[in-house]
Amino acid sequence: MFKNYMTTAIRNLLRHKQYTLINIFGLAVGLAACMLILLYVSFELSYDRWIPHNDRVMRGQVYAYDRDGNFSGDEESIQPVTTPLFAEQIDGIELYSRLLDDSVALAVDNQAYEQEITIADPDVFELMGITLIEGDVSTALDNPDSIVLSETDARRIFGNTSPLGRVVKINGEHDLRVTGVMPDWPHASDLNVNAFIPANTAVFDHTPWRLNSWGSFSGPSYFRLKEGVDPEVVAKEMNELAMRVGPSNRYKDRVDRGMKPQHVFHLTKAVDAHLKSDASGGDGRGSMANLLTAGVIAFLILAIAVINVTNLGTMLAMKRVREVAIRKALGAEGRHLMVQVLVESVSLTVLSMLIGVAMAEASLPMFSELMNRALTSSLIYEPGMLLVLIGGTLLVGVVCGLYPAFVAVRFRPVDYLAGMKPKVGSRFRNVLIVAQFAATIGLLATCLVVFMQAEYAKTKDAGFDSSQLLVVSGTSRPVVLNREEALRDAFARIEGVEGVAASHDMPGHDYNNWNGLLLDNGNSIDVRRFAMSADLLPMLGVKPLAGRLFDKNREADARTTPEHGASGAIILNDLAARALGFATPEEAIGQEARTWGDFRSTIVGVVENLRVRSARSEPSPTYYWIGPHEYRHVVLKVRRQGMADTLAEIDRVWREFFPDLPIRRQFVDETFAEFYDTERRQGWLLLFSAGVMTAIAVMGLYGLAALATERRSKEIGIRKVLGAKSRNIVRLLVWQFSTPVLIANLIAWPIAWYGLAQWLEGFIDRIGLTPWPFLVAGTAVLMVAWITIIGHTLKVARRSPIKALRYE
Amino acid sequence: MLKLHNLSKVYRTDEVETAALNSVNVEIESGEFVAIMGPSGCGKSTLLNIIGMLDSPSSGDYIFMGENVAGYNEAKLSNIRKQNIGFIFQSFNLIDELTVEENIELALLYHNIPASERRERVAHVMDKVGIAHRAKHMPSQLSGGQQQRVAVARAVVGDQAMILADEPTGNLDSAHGQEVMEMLQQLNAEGTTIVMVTHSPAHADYARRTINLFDGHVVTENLRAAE
Ligand SMILES: Nc1ncnc2c1ncn2[C@@H]1O[C@H](COP(=O)(O)OP(=O)(O)O)[C@@H](O)[C@H]1O
Ligand SMILES: [Mg+2]
Repeated sequence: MFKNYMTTAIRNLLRHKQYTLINIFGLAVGLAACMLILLYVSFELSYDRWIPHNDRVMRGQVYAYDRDGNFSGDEESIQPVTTPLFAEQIDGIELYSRLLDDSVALAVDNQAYEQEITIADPDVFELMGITLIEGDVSTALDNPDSIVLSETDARRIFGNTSPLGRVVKINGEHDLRVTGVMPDWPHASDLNVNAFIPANTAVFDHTPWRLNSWGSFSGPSYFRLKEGVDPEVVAKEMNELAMRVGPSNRYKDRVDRGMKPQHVFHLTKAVDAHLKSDASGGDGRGSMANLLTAGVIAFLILAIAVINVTNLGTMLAMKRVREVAIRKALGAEGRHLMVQVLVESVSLTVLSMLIGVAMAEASLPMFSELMNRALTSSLIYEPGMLLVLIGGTLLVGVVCGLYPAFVAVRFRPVDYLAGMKPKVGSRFRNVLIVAQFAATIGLLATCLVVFMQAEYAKTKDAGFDSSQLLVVSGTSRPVVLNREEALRDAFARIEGVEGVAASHDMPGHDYNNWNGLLLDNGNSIDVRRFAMSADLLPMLGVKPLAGRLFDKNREADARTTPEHGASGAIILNDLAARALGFATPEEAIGQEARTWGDFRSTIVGVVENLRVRSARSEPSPTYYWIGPHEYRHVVLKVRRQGMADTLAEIDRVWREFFPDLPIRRQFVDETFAEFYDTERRQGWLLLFSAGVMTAIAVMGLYGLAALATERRSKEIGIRKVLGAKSRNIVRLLVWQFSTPVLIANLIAWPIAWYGLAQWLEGFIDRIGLTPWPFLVAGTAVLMVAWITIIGHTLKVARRSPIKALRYE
Repeated sequence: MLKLHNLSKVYRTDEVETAALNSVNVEIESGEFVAIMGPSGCGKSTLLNIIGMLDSPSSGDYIFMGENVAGYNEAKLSNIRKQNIGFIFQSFNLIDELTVEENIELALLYHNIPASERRERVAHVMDKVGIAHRAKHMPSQLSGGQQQRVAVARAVVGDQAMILADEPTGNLDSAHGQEVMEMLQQLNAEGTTIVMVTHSPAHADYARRTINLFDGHVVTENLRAAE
């Protein structure tokens, strides 16, 4: 019996080659998309699961409260200064390590390399379950001048020779000895470590606050708690400890005044860092929302493919009424036919799954690139996943066959013998087509809007002219900072350099300094401080809203000391001026403001809010000051003509100054583009999915149109004999298949509109929704559908009517 | 074997009601060969379909082997049908995707008969109707006469007590028609009850009795004198 089902199944699939191909291809693509997205989702869920005992490995965090006691955010780290203190005093903590990233210049044998390093405590290897390829785990970070390199970096710097015991020079001044080589850090991690340096290193001496300030949050701290210890209890002890030993103005005094302390410590699981943290915290971060979106898209693609198979299956069941009628007359019962149709659809699905696996394999590299993840296909072949795939395949097969089977079962043989053509299922089929196209149009509109937003955010006015701006970074290293002014002078002499300035912050370098700013009238705010040389604002093309910019010729403007965080003259951005209570920018001019150490400055100007962050984050109230000891970048304005020569000359000047340090430079416009990389990736993924969906849906429509014309070929023949032209017939068919697409628009638009409005809420600067992308998506899909149908029906309509009539 | 009593069939489509059969009374004995004749549209096929339990009457009784099946549901009818009744159609109605052999086997497929026995019986009937040399061919590769022979083989392979044939010779030339009629006669001689619709008086002569239908009524029944 089963053999008979199989032979009919195979012969049926072969007989209707065209439809079989549409079905198999559609399903294969749908299943491949599902597999890829399943791989992505399981990769995202695997983040940091490799950490041993990860159920009790925690990341320290604080809820921050501003000077008025209002909640201002959940920091993803605690102050590194507190970490060893907590570990020592709190019994529930078993192991700990801080992980503070920095990038340094590393030189060996007169060869300079850029190297990412992470400052860590000695427990880090045990905490993270890391074994060394070379070197001794228990002593590798004991010496302040040791460094442990990752395998890849060791090979990059030392080739195939063993690096153990070799000496490297960091930032041109610190000699470190390589004490170990570790395997490359797992891709599935919220952390990214390339080299470890112990926390008592001298490399951080020029930024001592990173390790000893109660106001610095320069990297995460991880703890492993003892078994059975409640994280909440540990957090409570942390808060008590901060109250006892922390600076009283941040903790005790505030609480005494009935306010929240500045920071409330709490612990979150290390494994949650990747998906449950603030997604803007890092470019590699994922989010539950992203996973959900990916899942929904995979489901939609598969659903569209399944709808095709179902629709074509019912149409083919119509074509097979004769077979069904005969089988029934010969005694086949409902369940026999049910099984037969299901065997057919399941074998179709199994075949598609095999092709789908191959497709997924083939497109995995591209997909990984698109998703910015190191995905591997090995997961597909693990027993658990195989079981899911096989189960899923059977399920999809059954779902595909269910309705056609139902149609076959309901069909009565007498109806066929009486010459009736069954009409079962045409309503259901239309509902499915509408659903298919609604999903396709919705997704297409969505990806248009995502692209538009990314484009808008990229070109969004930054408050300054970012073209031709080149940023040279890493000038805060002591060896550079000492000669920074000379370097700027040398740059300025290069032909093709139109301007040179120094700056604390530039796009792409999230570096925040905050302090209080106090007016004599008692008004005070928390404000960002942003150091820059006097020539930066003019070079950026910034015009003051009121007052003036810094003046090189007024010495009083630049008056400051390394102990203070302001200069004689300061400039506010619009936000800061408002926050300080000035009704107009003009009111602020000439006012005096104080910063820590009672340093007095005069507000000489107010400017637009300069945008140095992505459009997802709000600009902060900021004051600009002339502060040479906080410069981190040199900013150059380079001429467009002869750009390559100018860049080469800039590189040469740098090499002359700092042969031990590689130059780090990037155009600001490139950085801005990178901000919207995530949106761009999302956009491409959506576009790709929408394309696949359109292709599958239109192929299904084509199949249906072909079957419909076939079914109506007699009618078409008669109409032609009676004098109808090809044109009339094409119009008839096109109209029949346009209606569901038109209705699909009406369903897709409001849903997509609502979803996109929600998504855009996440941006501070966002485009307004207009009907355009929706119209474009709807029209595009309708066009593709028309071309397909017209192409096919024209062929049929042109055929001599005799053929159709003869074959009927 | 079967008895129709006051049996009527009314087709209802959206607007029109067609009374295809009107108070028909017919009795058919086991082993009989009955021909049904009448003008096109008089209800011959309807009658045959009801006898074959492919359709149910609107009113009246249908006693089949002592059982009133008039109100039976599809599943019950299907069960009785597959045990007792074989069909031959004007347009052969073989399945295009199956070989001759497989087409004949189809009639045994839904009977829970082991594969080996199925093969034996299929081989036996193919021999009997002289189509064995075409066992592996597809229906489209056969002439009409050959196709109808396959259909006859399919109708009898399950040892059905009764064969219903709706214009079995309608699509055949006279030589092939003759052949099929001889086959039916042979089957009847072996004890199979045969009910056949035909337009050809010559072919009706093979039957022992002819029922003439007109407009859903039985008008006459002629018994052919014994030879
Ligand atoms: N499924 C049906 N629906 C509606 N009317 C039908 C159907 N089948 C047959 N009829 C009508 O019933 C009558 C008898 O049909 P039929 O039994 O096929 O006649 P015959 O086989 O004698 O030519 C005809 O008028 C036909 O139009
Ligand atoms: Mg008829």
